[in-house]
Amino acid sequence: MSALRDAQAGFLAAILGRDPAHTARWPHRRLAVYRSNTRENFAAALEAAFPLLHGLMGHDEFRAMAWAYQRACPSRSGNLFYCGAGLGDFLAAHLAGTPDAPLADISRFEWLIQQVLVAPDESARFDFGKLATLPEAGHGSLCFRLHPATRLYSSALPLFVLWSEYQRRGKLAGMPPTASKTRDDLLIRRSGDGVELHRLEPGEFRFLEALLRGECLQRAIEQAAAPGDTSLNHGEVLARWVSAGVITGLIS
Amino acid sequence: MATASASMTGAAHPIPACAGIGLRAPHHREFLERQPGIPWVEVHSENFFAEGGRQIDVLDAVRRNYGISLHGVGLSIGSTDALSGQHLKSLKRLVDRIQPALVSEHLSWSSVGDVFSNDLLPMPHTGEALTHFSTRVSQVQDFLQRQILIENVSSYLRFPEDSVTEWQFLAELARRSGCGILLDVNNVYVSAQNHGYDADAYIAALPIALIQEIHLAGHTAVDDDDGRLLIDTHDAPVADPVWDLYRRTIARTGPLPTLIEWDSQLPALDRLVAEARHADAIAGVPHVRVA
Repeated sequence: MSALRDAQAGFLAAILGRDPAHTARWPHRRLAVYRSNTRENFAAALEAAFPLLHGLMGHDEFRAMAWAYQRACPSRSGNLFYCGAGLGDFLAAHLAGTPDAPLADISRFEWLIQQVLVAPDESARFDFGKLATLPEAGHGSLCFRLHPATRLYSSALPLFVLWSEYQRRGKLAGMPPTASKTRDDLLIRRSGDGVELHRLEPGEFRFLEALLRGECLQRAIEQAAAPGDTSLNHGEVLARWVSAGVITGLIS
Repeated sequence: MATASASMTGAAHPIPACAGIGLRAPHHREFLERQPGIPWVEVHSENFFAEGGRQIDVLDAVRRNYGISLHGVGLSIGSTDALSGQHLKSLKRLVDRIQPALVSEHLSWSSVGDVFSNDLLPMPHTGEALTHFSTRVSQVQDFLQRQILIENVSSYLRFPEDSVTEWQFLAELARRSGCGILLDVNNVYVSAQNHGYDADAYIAALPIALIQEIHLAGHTAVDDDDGRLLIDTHDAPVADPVWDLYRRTIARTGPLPTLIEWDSQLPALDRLVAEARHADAIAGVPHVRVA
């Protein structure tokens, strides 16, 4: 190891509090500035990316959680945007079996929102002319491309209500009741400055989920069907999401 | 959704030798609506690494009427870890799209073993570190196919291994790598106070011709039994001693592109513009309106 790497490794170990011997090398008060910056920058990035989680936990508890997460899963990128990628798994592991376990679900939902916000643009619109040239008998084998800024998420939590309340009031009163027997099957898409959520019927959700996985139309129809449920009109679903710009083309 | 490349949106605006402001997300909407009468802005590169969405649309819109400087905070050039290929590619994509007048990074590092502090940590000022940093700056410039500027950071600690001063390190880095210098006058002041050296001597030692941009920002003083420590917080107006140091710097260098940086506890947009105009008044340059 070079002298430069030795020096940097020792300094970072001191900042992260990983080695008392390295920590003792530096004046405490001055080292504390770097420690504080490292913790605050990380926590602030999480706070910006997880507003629902922050609102539900409260500022102090959120900060304590952020630092515990940072100790377990330190940043692996110079771009702090990515520091939230593992938060869902971290919370799932640490909150399992506790009353706060649903927070893992919320963090996964919010991370999908972050992905939607930064996903590539897609200006292409669905080419109906191309579809018309394809023999109808082969439509079952068609695969559809969804807009890159589209995600699907299913949760037992009332995420739609929670998100809507936060958008309306800029804060949260608390976790809404979760006694509902139905799941929140959500489509998340980019819109204007932010994202918009659509609550889907279960069959529609399974259908779009299969298309998003790259399944062909026939397979998606099969996977969307619940036993005994023939109510899903796949043609209508396709037309609605093509019209909305969510389904943007065919995968050739 | 706009996806126009830079070549589709026209040539990039130059940055004149007068003051601009750091443009941060809370001001995006107001900035585009009001089009404040300043000629250029600086943004943090990493905030625009997204491949699509609102943020990059904003920057496309701003660049139509303003000069742009891209200022990176996450490349960790001085680290002994390998440079991040992903980070470099994202930066190159942004540079190609925006065609900024200036691209800059810091005289710092932030990772070991791919664990990041995400802070601007000071370099040891040694011969080995200088060789390492110079090589890395050259790699970045080769990759981007353009010159970058390197900014001095505020520091609170110095490495016992230091064998040269920071200003000697920075000047030699610029000479070896061909990079320009982004002189943060507030950082010079903060570090000089914290380490007990002469801020004017620091600036006097730098090759004037290589200084291409100046930063000004606010700092915070913390007093306790161990004395006064200045912290580079970017959450306050530029302090009077820093304005004085800026005045003496400009007297030496002549007017330069000068940025008002304010990142925390952001004031109203008008306040930032007023600080920029104050910088112009000190430099004796006429206020330049946006085209």
